[in-house]
Amino acid sequence: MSKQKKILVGEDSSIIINLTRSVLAFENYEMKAARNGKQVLEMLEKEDFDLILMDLSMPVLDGIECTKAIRALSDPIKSNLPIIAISGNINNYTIDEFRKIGFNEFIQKPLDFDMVLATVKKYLS
Amino acid sequence: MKGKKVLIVEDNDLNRKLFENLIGQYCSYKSAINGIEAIELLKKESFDLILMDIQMPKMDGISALKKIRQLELSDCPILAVSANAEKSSTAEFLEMGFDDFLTKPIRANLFLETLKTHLKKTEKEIPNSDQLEVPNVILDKNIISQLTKYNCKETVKSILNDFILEFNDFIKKSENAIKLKNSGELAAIFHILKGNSGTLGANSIYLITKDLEASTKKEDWLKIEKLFSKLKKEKKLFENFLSEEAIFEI
Repeated sequence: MSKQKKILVGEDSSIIINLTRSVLAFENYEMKAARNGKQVLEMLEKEDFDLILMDLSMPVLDGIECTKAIRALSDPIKSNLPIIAISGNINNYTIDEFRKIGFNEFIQKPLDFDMVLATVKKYLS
Repeated sequence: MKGKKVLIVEDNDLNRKLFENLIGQYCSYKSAINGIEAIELLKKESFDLILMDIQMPKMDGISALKKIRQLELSDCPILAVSANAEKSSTAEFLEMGFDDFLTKPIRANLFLETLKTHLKKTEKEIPNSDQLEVPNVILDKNIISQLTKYNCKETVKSILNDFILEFNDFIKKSENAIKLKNSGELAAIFHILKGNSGTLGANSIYLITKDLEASTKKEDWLKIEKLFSKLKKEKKLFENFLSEEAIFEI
């Protein structure tokens, strides 16, 4: 049996964190939550993860700056982690612009949890 | 084409060099010499377009295409490149699932134009969520049934209760922020409320909050007050709706 995969979720809404946790548990993924980009970076420094789900609008350090910081990390495993953006896309980015920032993928808010699970699976299987 | 990344899959050194030189002038690329190598690369990184030779050792282009789509390794355009001598028509390649077909020997201009056209198509516009159509109902049954797929009904109910508790807190904070005309704090509150209500399928609350967020950005205080009292009414309706437990017998 393969090791349980661990996902880090950067999201400031506790409701979305709770819902996401149950959805990911459905596929036996372990999940940890960070409330802002700074916390994401701190947790990533201490622990290993297999994938990051990242809300764009978060206090302290937003998802875009946080993703840029992760891509600039010296540890190649951490800096190359799949990062999936979750956002209402109020900035009207294109897929291309999301890729350039460093995201692997984008999921639209309000979240469709079938889509969340399918996208995560694609990167972790 | 700037900023795009192309995967070149071609076993012939001379052809590969030619493709690399042409593509390298406009965007970045990586190369693989057969289908197996291409698939390994696709597992690690994403590309905007794949140029696929048909006849290759180990794994040919058609098998590679099938594998890529089957494993959902990429949804980017895949263009077949094949010699004239292999008398297959464009239609046949399209039928197999390729997005286009280029004949060898290639002509530089046509080759680059074809690539450009397909790369343009990858610049998908993502809608702004605020522009998506949402049915104006108190609780969206479709969203609730999706949530109960992954959570037991009790969990969904308790999350909805948490939502109301947090909502109460938001109302208090917003009243204060409206009094102080603190649009920054107000916008932050409405943003979270918008995301949460939308995720939980509390559509009528979501729709009002969306307008509230927009009015807050414009600092249209008259409209904010009007919408805010509407929001409080909607909250009551939502609470009443939830107390009728029947909604979870979906």
